[in-house]
Amino acid sequence: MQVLDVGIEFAPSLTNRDDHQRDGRHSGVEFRERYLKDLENENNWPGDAPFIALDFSHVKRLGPSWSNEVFAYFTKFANPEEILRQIKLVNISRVKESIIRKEIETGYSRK
Amino acid sequence: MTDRKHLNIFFEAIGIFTCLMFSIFIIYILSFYEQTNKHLFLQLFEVKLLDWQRFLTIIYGAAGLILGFFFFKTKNSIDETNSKNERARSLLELIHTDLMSADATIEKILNMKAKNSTELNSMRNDLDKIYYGIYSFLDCVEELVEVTEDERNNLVDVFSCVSRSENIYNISLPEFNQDDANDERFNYYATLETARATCIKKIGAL
Repeated sequence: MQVLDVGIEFAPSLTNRDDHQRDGRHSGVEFRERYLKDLENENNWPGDAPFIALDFSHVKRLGPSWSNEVFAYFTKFANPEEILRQIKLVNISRVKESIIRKEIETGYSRK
Repeated sequence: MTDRKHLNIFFEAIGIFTCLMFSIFIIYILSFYEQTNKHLFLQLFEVKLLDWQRFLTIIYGAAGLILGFFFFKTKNSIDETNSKNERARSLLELIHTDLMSADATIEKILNMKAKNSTELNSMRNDLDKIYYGIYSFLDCVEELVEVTEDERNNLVDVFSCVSRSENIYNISLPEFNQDDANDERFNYYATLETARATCIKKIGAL
């Protein structure tokens, strides 16, 4: 299983959903397409082993829009628990984890 | 608040009682010296105690020392708890103030007070600053404030709801839809009221 230090290898500020939101930098779409591309195939759900571990120790800001785009996008393939089994969250604060869980539970907000 | 005041008075009374007991204990010790060494200091006070008085002073003295130990231990812990609660209360008040400050900006957006896209973007940037500020702040003080999972979720829900609201958070000025805005306002206020109630309840409980 790959372990990705999100704050160092991607960006410490994760706020934008896509290129159109605010300055559009380090968006959720960009992250998903770069690191979670394999999970966009329905046949990979539900996986036997975790696909990736995301380390949030160097992440300073985490927004609901970014979280929705990265995590809730997969609610079309799996339920919240399965998503968090495939994409493990490591070294994450309780507030940031609550933001991600809330987004997964509420579902993807883009058609 | 009243309970805490009563508790303080109670422990202060124990403190005074302890001092009295300790004084009696000292007198006993001094009287013991009087019999053995004829200490000059004792001669000045001319302390003379009977056997039963000595027995009582030992009991009082020992009780005084034990109570004194517990008094200082408990008093310190109560003082620490009071100051911790005071800090937690002011932090929650700050979060509440920030929520209301974001609310004022949201009201402006929903009432289409922005004159142009630049002003609208500036208002949305303000919202981002406030909410990310609240969450960073909550991340740092969470243990001090002792928020439960439900309370944390209530605070997280507000920004989640705002970020889903197209009119408040995403679409440009020409695309603004008043009917959708009313629905979004309704959903937003439900989450805001829950978050505010969480803060107020927690402030009241401290």
